[in-house]
Amino acid sequence: MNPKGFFAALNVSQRCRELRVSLWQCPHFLFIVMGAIIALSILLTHLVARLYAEPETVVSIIFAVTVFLFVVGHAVIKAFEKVAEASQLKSEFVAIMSHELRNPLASIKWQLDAVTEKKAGLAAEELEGAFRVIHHANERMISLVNDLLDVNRIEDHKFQLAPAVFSLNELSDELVKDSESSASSRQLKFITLTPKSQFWVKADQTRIKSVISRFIDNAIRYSTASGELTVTLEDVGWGVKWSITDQGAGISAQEARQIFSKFFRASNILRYQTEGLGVGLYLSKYIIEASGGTVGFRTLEGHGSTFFFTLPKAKT
Amino acid sequence: MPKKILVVEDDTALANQLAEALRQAGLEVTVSNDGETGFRQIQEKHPDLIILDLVLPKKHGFKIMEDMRENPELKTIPVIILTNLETPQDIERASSFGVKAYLVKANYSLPEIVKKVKGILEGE
Repeated sequence: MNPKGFFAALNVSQRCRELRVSLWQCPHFLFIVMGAIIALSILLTHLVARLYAEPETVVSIIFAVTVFLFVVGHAVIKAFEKVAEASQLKSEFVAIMSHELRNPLASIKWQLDAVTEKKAGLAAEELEGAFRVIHHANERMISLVNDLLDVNRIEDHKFQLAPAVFSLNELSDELVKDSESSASSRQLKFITLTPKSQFWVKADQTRIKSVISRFIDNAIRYSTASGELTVTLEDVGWGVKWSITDQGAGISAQEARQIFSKFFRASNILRYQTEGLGVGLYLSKYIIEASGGTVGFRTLEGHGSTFFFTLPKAKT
Repeated sequence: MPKKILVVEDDTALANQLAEALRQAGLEVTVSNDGETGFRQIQEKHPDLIILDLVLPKKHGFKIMEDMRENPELKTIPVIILTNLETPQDIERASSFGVKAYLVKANYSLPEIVKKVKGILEGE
């Protein structure tokens, strides 16, 4: 073993930070604690045995120490499990990520093959169509990778927001307008209930925009064909509440418990989920909470769901 | 009469590209974007060959194959798996169903897939 590696391994708190676990969940730290307890208890037993000759006292002390060691040992096992779980989650994630990237990659490959094969024989519309498919596939890959990087930044505590004052009404109206065509292609109609007065909030506009877009996209995606999507903005005293209500299938109680967690669909994504990494709502929740707001939803299975977030008003 | 091909693929961009390539090769193509519709189409249309994705909304590709196996009329229809999954378990499971080919999307070009399809149809 090289001496540098040996000393680096001794820097337990650093190692535990790298493993992204707290000290009491970190095997390295727990082993040191265990070692210290064993050394101390040997010393103590020796002292006690010399001072008090009664075997009962010595036995009960040894018993107490054993129980304590057992508890710490249990914590060590748990800690190992946690590290192992994290590594399993990572490999599952790599599987999901590569699976997700392969569709747009195949799309691009097929188009490029067709274009290079035909070359001069390609009609202008055909070429345009090929570029459109490639562009769309490329955008999908970019947004997948961006989401992945954001999750990583959150884990590393490096996710940064750039707050500025903006009108939530304007942003919301703009995004609803952008989504109108994709909604109408599924016979969905937007109803917006936003007051005339402007609601000013102080937050990172680009990030809030991504949250609203995700909520709108989800509402469209999980709606049954034809129906209404209601977007509401209201004053809740300390802040502003934005919400969207769909008439989709709703969310089952079992799903509802974990919907905002990271890789929520990790367990079933490879079987049923068709697009995305399952990190959208996790990122949205983080962004809103880091901006001083709250997120949530109400759902009635079979009747649709309402997703909402609140943001504090900007001080004027 | 042109041979009937059913493409069960939820990614619309991919499905359309594949369908177009097969049509240009003189085949009659139907596309389903989810597993349930896909299985219904198999029951109704009795295609000459099925190109099946595995990760599908509403009904997994393997579930479709299981249900096809139950039905003596459907179990003989040749199936090509076209997927992004590549674990040994998936490949093994597919071969236990007796699929004609297991193709990973990004590793094959459209002409190669069309060639495979034609080869299987002609070998019948």
